[in-house]
Amino acid sequence: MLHKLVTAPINLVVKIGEKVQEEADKQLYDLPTIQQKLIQLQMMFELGEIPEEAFQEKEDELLMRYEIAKRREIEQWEELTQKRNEES
Amino acid sequence: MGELLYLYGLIPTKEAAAIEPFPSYKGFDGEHSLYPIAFDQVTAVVSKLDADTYSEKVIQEKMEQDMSWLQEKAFHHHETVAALYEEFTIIPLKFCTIYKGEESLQAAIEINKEKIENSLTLLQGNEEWNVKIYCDDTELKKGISETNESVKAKKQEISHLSPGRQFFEKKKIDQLIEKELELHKNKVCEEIHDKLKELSLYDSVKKNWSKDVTGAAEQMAWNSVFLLPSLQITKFVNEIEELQQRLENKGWKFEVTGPWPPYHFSSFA
Repeated sequence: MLHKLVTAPINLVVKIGEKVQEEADKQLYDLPTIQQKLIQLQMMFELGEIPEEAFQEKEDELLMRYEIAKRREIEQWEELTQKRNEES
Repeated sequence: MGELLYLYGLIPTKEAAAIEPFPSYKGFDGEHSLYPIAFDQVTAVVSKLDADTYSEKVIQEKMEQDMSWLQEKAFHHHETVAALYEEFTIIPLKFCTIYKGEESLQAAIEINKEKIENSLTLLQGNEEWNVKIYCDDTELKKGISETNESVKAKKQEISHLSPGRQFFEKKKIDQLIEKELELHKNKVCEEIHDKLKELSLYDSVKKNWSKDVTGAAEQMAWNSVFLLPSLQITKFVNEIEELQQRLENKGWKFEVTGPWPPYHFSSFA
């Protein structure tokens, strides 16, 4: 069994890797998730549970992810519209 | 090697018993799971922690020196409390509330039993909501400069002075505008707060955050929390939407979030 696992075709390993990355990406760049985290972060700061520095660092990171997610959404939308236009 | 108990929240035993088995959530250390311990009418939701890895000293050091650890764990705490809140009436506990064991937890609950039970009764059917009001000072200042009676009178008063004198008097007018701006902002926010308060059981005004913290272009003018009966939520949100529509062209912006676990309206210890 161990032998089989070790000799699993490389492309299968790569595919599993891609799948994991896809899932992680979904979490990282999902707009509602990011919004939720930003709101949660605000409350954590409000309750005095994280200092200003930790709040701002995390907020910057989340806002950057938000920008990327928003851009991706627009790109996907444009792609879809273009496809539809080509089909019609 | 001893074990500590990380306490997330207190829930009514009746509600905990109604959901069998207890929902599965990962604990603070990422290994143990959350589980309920019933102490009469009150059930504590806890997870086990290794006493050496999570000693007070270690946690203190981590909190002060490891920002990403702090962020990750604080998110874990609040996301878990939020998930529990979806299932149960809950008194949420502060981040990193840890007990030496079941006995010390029981003692703490016993001492505060009446307070806890009263809190849980109060919280049933009610929700915590947060309202932040922002305003564009530049926009508001313009309005005050054109319409405020004291400012208008002062402008009139200096109109016949020489340009040199006018320069200094204008500085005074700027200060007057600043003062009137603060008065105006507080008056508007207080009126809004009083109106929203009518729908709530309890309310509390919090400190405004500085622009450095919010990162917003507008200034935070008001920050408040409300405990609202669930039946009033739609009315509450509609009221704020109406305010937003009516006041946004005057430079006001509203941010309403909820429902939150009752962080500001439940007490324990």
